[in-house]
Amino acid sequence: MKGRTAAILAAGAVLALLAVLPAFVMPYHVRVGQLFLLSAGLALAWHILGGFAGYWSFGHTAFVGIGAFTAGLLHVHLKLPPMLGFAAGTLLGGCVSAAFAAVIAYPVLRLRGIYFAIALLGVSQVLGELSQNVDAFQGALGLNLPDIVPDAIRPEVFFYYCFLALAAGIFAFSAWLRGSRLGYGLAAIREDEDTARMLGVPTERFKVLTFVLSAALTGTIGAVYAYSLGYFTSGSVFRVDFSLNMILHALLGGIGTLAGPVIGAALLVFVTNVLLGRLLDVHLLVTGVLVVGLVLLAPSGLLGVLRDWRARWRRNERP
Amino acid sequence: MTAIAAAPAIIGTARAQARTITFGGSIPLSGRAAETGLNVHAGYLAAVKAVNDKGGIEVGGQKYMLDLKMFDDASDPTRATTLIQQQIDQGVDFFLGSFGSNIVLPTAAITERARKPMVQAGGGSDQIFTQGYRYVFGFFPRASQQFISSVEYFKTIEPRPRTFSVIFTNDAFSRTQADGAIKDMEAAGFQLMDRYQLPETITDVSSVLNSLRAKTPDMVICTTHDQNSLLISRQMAATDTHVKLLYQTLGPQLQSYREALGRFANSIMVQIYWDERANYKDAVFGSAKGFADTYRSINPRPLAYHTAAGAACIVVYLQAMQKARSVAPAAVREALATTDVETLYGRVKFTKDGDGDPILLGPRIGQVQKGAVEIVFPTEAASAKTVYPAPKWSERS
Repeated sequence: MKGRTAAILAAGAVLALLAVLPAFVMPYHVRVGQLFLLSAGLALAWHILGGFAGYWSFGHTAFVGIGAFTAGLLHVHLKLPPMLGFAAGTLLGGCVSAAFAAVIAYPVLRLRGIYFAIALLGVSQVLGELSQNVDAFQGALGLNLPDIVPDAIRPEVFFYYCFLALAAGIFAFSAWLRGSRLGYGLAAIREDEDTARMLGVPTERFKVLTFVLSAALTGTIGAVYAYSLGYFTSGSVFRVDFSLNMILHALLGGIGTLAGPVIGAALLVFVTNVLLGRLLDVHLLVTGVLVVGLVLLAPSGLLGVLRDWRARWRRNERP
Repeated sequence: MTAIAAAPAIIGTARAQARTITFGGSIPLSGRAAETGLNVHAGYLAAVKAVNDKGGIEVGGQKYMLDLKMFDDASDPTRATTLIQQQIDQGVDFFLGSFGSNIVLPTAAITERARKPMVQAGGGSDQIFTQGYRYVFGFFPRASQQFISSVEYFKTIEPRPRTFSVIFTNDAFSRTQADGAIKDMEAAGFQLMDRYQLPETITDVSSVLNSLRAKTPDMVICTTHDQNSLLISRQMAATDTHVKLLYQTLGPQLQSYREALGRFANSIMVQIYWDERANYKDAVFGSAKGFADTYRSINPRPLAYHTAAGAACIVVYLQAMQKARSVAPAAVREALATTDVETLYGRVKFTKDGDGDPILLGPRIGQVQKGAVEIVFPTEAASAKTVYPAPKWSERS
């Protein structure tokens, strides 16, 4: 109980710090913060399925794309007032992603492990191609979204708070989920799905529900991301690196932990955009070496290493 | 904060009296657009080196050296916008462009809001020039207007072709240019027979060629990128799909394309955006040929028209600064808007929307003859006459 209170206080302090940050830093740092919050939000949304249920999707960018295109096409066809269009596009982006996930859930969730991962990768590639080649989606020419940012606020600050709200919301939802009946069921599925089913966990229902929730949250972020770009093509949103980064952030921070995806996103965004931002020729190489090194030295992620240290320290403390 | 910083720390004691003009921006040096990004970047580097080697540039009685601070956006718009913002915060006043409209547009939104000029040679989509931006200038005419000079050329061919079909791929550049081509060609009285839409990267066009053999137009116009153009002409030659005129916007200008096709490349038409043999005078390099010679002496990377355009972006900037007698972004922007100068790339003038003048900066028309590209239009710049109708594939030598 004491640990739980401390964790809530720590999360609250971090949230408060992030909330006041734009007032004290340069616009560039706000944009880095925006990128961090986008990455953290995506990693947290992926982690609901990949971390809690153990179903690693290699194609979650499909839902980023669905969210973005839903918002873009809604604007093109309905021409709602900008802020209303933004709200409706964001909401609908999540809903359409959820609906799509519900449709494909039955066939893809019958697969496990690497087969599931590759199936989702295939789905994202197919959707990317469709959005590019079917005229109705306009993915080849690109979609323009209106400027929705009020005059009184800078665009980077506006979208910083949008992504902060999303990331914080998904974090809180993850925290609730982990301690819920569904969360315990997902943990059982992750550890041994057959045994979980045998013990009465409704595995199919839990998996579908989690898949749909994860897709809805990712799609919502995708819609906001589209508005933050202002103009996007299929290549801007159906990106394999989006899918891989979601996994990488969770992996670096610690799969199965609450804060792991957030810590992983913070670390990698800082390294790639701040530390290595100026190294024209070697930044990808250095990033690659760093990631491989971290995965080899700390396969359970940074929080995993921390947990091991604490356990060892406690053992040494005992008389 | 201004981009002109006190110089000693940057350019050393020998140049203690000079200040520095910094050009910033992003460029894809990795990722899917890296190949062209590297070409554009090589042009920027060549221009900065040439100016600095000559002791810098004088603006309003003050000597300036140039500094280039580009970063790799990895073809990622999010990374590009983040790092462009960093440069704005650091006081960079003048920006060069990335490659690809999906990156140029989001970054241009930031520089526009900060009222810093951006001169770019990497984005030609119409969307860039229809946002009402005042500080963004592009070397290429917007995609929908890049076919104007080609239509003028087709009107001069004797006997005049009457029908045409268009092959294009599903990307912003190819599609927009195809739409513009069809509109302009029909307005000029040419009759459209078919339009073939293909995926962004194509691997086989045999079904299109079957259709072309069944319903053969006088001209086939491909608004395709280099590799796609090569695939189309290879399969046309292999299947003996003959048309009187095969026109490809990109592809035949590359030596690698012509070497791959061999004698079959002869008679194929192509858009030429830049030719080092053109008689252009340039304030920094002396001429187009002077640029080509300088470039080859410092960079082993093959010279491409994007490289020349990249170098010309900086030349145009410098001339605008000298015209404005100032390095204040707003004054330079005003000078850029009224720019009308001859550079290594040709005569540069922007439309009121910021894209390149479609006549002055639009493409010339070339034709592959005996393995080399000869300019056939406009007539005053022509180095050879058009071979029309093209010989059948088996008769090409």
